[in-house]
Amino acid sequence: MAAASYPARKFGIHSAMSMYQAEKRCPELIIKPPRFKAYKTYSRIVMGILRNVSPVIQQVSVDEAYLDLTQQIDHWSIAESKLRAVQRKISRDIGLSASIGLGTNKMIAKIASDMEKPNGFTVIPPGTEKRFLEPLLVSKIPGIGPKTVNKLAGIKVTTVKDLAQISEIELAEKFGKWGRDMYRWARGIDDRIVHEGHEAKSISTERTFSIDISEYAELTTILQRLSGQVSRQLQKEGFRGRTVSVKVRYADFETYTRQVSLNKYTDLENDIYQAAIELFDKSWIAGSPLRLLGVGVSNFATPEQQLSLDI
Amino acid sequence: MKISTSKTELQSALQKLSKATPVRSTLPILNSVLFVAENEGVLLRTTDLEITIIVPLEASLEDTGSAAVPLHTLLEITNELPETRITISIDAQNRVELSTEMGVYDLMGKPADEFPAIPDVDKQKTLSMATNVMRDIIDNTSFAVSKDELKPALTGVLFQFNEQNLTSVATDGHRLVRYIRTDYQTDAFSGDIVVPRKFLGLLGNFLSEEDNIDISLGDKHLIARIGKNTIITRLIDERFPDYDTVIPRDNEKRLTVERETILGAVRRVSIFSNKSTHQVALRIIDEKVTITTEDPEKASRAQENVSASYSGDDLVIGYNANYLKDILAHIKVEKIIIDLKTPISAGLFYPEEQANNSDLTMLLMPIRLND
Repeated sequence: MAAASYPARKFGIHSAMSMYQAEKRCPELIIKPPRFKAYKTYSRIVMGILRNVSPVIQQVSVDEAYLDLTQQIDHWSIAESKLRAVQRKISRDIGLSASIGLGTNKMIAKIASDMEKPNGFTVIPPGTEKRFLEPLLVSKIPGIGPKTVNKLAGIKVTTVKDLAQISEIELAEKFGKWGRDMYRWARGIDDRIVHEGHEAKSISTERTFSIDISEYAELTTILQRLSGQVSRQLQKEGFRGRTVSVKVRYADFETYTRQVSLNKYTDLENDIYQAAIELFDKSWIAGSPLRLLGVGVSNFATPEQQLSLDI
Repeated sequence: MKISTSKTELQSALQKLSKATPVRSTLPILNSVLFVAENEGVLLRTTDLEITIIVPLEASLEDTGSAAVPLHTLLEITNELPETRITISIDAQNRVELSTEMGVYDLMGKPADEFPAIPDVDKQKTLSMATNVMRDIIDNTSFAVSKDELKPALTGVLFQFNEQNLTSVATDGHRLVRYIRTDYQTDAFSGDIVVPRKFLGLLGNFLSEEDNIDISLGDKHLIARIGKNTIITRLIDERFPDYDTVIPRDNEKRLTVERETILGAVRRVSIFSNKSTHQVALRIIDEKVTITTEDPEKASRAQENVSASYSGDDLVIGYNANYLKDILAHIKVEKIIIDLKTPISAGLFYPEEQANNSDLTMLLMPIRLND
């Protein structure tokens, strides 16, 4: 069983179940062979609709994608109405249902989209992430699989609220670097950016300081160095991008990523640094000690392309 | 076999013949020239298995026979000799001796029967063509032929024979040339053949000597006879794509420009373009074409303005300068017309005034610009 429709799921049928099991649970079950070509076609249509909403799109599978609307909207409510329109358009144009989750980062949006299916629409407004997450089972967090769920159960953690009460050090000891990620996930923090495609569509670098830094001059020096590193990497890989992002993490692990679009594609250190410093000035609460600083460039130019005759 | 000839005769024949020998081959015999000395005369032959060249050698015959002789050694020594008589003797063991008044040179040949036979060409249809027609076709089309061996059909020029005219087409997928001669008709053959680029290039070397070439068409081969020389080529056994559907009919933005002026500008500006993309941009506004390029890697840029007449909305379009120069250089008229539509669709290039009896149209696909 590769997939099961929502009505079939009501009988307890799910993907990866044997055909025999499935028919036992629902004798009237209609079984169809897969039609990958059709799925691809529909997928392309849906992705086309999404691309019209925002060019910053990351397709993660045939039927799942992240959209970054930061550049498209200046108010939260506009995002909601835009996405409602997308849902209607998908339904009207090709008769498919789509579930949408709207949140301040990829993790929140993903969990939200899973809340209600089919044809769900779940909005987690900024500031309500914690309240939204706390009652959920840890297994709802993408990246926490059955094995981790069991391990967490061993330390009496079943909900996200439970998880949020474990210290970072303890999680790190038990799960390594991953534990640090879980610590942030439990707080609704996810600073992965939406990037196109599967291959590198952004180049970024960051530095975690051994001692928190609060000196402006020192931080901007680091910013310059990071900009240089990103620039060299871009040039090495032959990319030019027009979105520059800066990531700051405070001593208390609050992490912010801000990005800005330039009016041209660039791979030059100075362009990146100028944009980065501007973003940094906006992001940094002067004098607050920082634990991490990062610079990234994304939204790469499609390579200038010699077009071909259709023969 | 024993013959004697002059340095000039031998050199001229070998130079023509050397064009067919392959640069690299797994078959060593192909690096040889086959001598066939018979009472009717001496014929020399080379082949790369695709193309076979047969050239007669003016020589006095003392003894008939045949053998394959290493071509490059023979050509080298011939080049180094002053004008003199050369006597070539080959014995039954294929030992070759060249004797001249300067000295004697020996080398080893190979038996004639190891040399590939002349291909059998059956069901021949024979037609004749003025050399200038063939030359014009070669000059106008062969630059646009693809070098991509993965698309065999595009590695040759399409000839479409019919009772009204002769249409020749070449494309590499980025540009396309269609050249029609309305002054050529034949009722001997009607249909399409795809002729390899290498053959056409080679044929060009033979054309100056005669007014006419005789062409015999078989199912798989073409034989061209120019005077006493014969070139046989295998035809490309692939269907040429339907080129007609890609020729735009609705390019309504029309640019008319002096060819030398715009070609000169593109040549100068492109010196400063990126060495891998060769990208230049044409900004066409009102009666002016601004040609620009920029190479961020080398921090170089260039710009020139060319005046032109233009009807249509403003347009910015990018091209590979090499392709653009090729096209502009091959439309040898004072003024050319460029019909455009969008920055991502094919532009149509042709002479403001077509030459008598011909119709020349070129297509060039742009480079998609990203900012």
